[in-house]
Amino acid sequence: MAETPLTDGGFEDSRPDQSVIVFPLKEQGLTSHTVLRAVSEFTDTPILDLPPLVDTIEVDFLDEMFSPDTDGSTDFSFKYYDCLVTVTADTVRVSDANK
Amino acid sequence: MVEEDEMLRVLSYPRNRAILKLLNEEARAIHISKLAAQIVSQLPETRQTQTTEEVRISLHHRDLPKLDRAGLVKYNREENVATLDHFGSVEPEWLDMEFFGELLSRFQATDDTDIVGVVEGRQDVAQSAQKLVTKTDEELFIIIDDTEVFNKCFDSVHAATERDVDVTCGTRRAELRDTVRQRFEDVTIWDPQLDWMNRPSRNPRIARLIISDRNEVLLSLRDESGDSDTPTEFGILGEGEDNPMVVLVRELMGPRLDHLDYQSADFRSQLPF
Repeated sequence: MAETPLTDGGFEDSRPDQSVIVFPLKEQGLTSHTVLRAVSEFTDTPILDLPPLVDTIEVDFLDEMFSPDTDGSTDFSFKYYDCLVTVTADTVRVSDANK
Repeated sequence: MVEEDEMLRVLSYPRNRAILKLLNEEARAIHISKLAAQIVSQLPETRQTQTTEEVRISLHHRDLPKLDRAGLVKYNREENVATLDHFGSVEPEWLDMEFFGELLSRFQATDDTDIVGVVEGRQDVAQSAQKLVTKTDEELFIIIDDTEVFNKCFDSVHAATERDVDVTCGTRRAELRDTVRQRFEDVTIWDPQLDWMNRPSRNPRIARLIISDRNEVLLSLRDESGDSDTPTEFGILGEGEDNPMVVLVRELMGPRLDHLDYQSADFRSQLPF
């Protein structure tokens, strides 16, 4: 995992190693896809080898709640593939759920 | 058991219908990469918003697991391959009067073309059926489950063949198929290859399904399990190419109607070998 798009330097629980990665939410593309890319990178697992996200969380809800059109002011967290995923208005943060 | 609500919701998305159609045409397990490529090439709306790679991700993480949950598709999450779950698993849901009510309530009329009519009682259904057969210009697809009902339609079907209408007739009753063969030379007999009409002893059952020129549909159910002596019949009618009822039936039946060509003697005689 040489490339991490954004390191989470500003948060209290951030650690110098790869214990947290943060992806920015883009204007285009689905929030659920950003979640999947972040988890894929964090766990070093190809996206299609991850278990279907919809089995864990309603994907449509995720995409509609956190899209550029909506004012997603509430953070939302869930566990997926042993990761703690937190979606904010403009980022997706992934950390180890067991730590 | 399949959740009716889930199935209905799932079927209302064009992409899901496209997936079902592609799987139905293939009749074998398809890998999501191939499926994604076909969807992108066939659906302009998808092409504008998603790349093939993105469609592939959506198929694995959203669309196929949902279709699996709705009982329409079997999705192997490890191998990333999907097959059509036999349409038979859908059939009991169709044969449910309450489901029809639900279906009707979904079709909120925005203009005249969206209206789905309800016909109650055997006589009224028969009358609607006759009307529909009479106004058919080019293609008539008719499934009838009942000798008496069949006999009533007989004259109008005969008149349709006289008008050079392409008539295809299906029935699960072998003796009716024989009668049609003897009386009408020009009628294509559709021997159902899938068992959706043949669930034994299930009420209500489909009494008739008539598709006229692929833009009008009458589907009726008959319940013989009730206490009354006479079975009740309940039909829904859709008119117009964009009518939701017509669209739904065409989506479900379309591939089967097209496969009819392979069964007709005419088609076989035109084969080069």
